Amino acid sequence: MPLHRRQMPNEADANKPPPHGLDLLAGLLACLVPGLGHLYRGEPKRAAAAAIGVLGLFFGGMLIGGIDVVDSREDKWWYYGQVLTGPIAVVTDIVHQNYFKAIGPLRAENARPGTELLRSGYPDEQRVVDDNGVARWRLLTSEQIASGLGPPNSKSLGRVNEIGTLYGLIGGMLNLIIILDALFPTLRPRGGTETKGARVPRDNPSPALSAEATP
Amino acid sequence: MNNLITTLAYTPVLDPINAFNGWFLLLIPLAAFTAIAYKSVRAPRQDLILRQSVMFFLQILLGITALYIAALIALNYILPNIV
Repeated sequence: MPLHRRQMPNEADANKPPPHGLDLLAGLLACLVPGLGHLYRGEPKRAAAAAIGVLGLFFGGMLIGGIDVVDSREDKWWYYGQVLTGPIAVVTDIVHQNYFKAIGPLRAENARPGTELLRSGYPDEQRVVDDNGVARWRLLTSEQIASGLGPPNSKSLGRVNEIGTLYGLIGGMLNLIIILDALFPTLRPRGGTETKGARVPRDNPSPALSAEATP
Repeated sequence: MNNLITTLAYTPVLDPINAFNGWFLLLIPLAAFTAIAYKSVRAPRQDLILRQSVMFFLQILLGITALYIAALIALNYILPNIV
């Protein structure tokens, strides 16, 4: 019963150090969903804080910059950091590439005529899937734009895009720390002056406190 | 009027928010979530996570504010006198 691994049934077990060393399953679970590894190890508050922090950053970034902040093609290096958030970042990118982008001409001043690429849509374009299943951008008339037609999402630009991307990247980097903490649960120094430097198990009373409590 | 239209057209998660003027305020939730995630593994005990997260959040905000003031002084008063 893995979830009960840290539940101490009686007082004698209360001072028993938690399992530490290498916990592969906890590490794997932490890779799947932020905080799941700590939940498996019987640390629900840690798990909740990890999930709130990492998922808050990931979805916060998407609320700020839209789905465009997770983009493995246009922001490759940023995406490598974001993917540390877990499968949720990969799924988001797959959805973004396959359901929000389409093939269309490059509309830059110095673009070679006829150059087409997979990209986000401009406000005057509509995403249309042809008979072969290939999505393309179709130019809209001003009447069609006025009637509410347009691309499925707006491309985020400037500071908003930078901040949104940064949110996801920081979430991913922090999740790496959380995964490592679940994978290699260790005894760590307890804070405070009296026991500074002493290695005591997390969430267990220090040996000094235990001695005081026991008559 | 333009800002109003952009705000009304906003679809959460799909479209970017219209925060081009107050983008720096977005650093506050960034600091809060960062503090929570970091202290989730760094706090020695689970019951200390919340308190330490709040402290860390305030430290980040103070640090950012101090950097802002330092940059403001350097760019407006010190550098113009040197260059």
